[in-house]
Amino acid sequence: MQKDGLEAIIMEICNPIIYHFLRSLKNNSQTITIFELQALFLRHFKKMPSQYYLFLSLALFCIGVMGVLMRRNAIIILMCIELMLNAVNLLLVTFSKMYNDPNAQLFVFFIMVVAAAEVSIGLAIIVMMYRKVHSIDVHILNRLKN
Amino acid sequence: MNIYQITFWILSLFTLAFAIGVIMSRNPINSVLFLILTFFCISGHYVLMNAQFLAIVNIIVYAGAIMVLFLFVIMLMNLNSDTEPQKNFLVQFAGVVSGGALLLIMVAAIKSSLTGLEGKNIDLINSTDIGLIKNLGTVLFTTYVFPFEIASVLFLSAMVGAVVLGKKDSALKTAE
Repeated sequence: MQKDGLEAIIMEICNPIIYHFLRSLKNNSQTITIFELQALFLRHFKKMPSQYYLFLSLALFCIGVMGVLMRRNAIIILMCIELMLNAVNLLLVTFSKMYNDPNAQLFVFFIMVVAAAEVSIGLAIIVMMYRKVHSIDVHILNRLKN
Repeated sequence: MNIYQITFWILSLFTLAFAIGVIMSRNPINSVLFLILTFFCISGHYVLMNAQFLAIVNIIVYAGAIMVLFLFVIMLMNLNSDTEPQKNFLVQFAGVVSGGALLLIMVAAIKSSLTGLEGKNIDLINSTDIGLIKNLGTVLFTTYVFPFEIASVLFLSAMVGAVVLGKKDSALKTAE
């Protein structure tokens, strides 16, 4: 299928449904004006493709993973775990909106509960270790004894 | 491009920029402040998707409580960028490469298996009311009432554990 520039762009950023609609429109009228394009875009962008939210939360999650791998400060590592949990929360809310289902939003509540408990315990452990060894470098904290 | 689309793109841009700021800033306090901004942007996404109650809870619990805890601990330890331990360049580079590879693989996997999701769009204009307090409360106190009680026990144990862990050794010795 031969695709020229404008069509390729539309194919790239829109989903295939709108692309086939454009093809059928083009077969009828042979040419497509900029106004028709604008109308097409408006009709399409009333709704949001769910892939965008998927990719956004994936990117957030991977930034969190990078932070855990890159940093040596134990507090920053905890914060990056929080970032990953929030990426998952965003994904759950997206699916909740997509399927009109409140159960996913309840799961977000429970993730928040577990995150709050985890952070309080983790920070208590970090404070205790800091009193002992005067450092929060994970390379120094990796010994369990002394 | 309607106003919802523009809001989505701007919020996504800020979310990712602040998240990168979290892992890039040398000073831990700057990191915490960037993380608070990230949480505000994620709350904006929740509002955009009609999860208003979750947005408020996100701000109160994460930006209000957890981040204050982080800031308090960092200020208690008197950390700054001078004492910040740094990994060497090779390890940092390996971290960025493996994180990027994870992103690449996940994006490729989702793009290749999107057959069920292609027709699914998120309707940002027509609002639903599943994110309101009434509906969520009904579900929480009927279907999920047992996990809710378990969560309260979890909080209690976390509180006791944090108090026990945070006690100084000398206080424990004298208690014994």
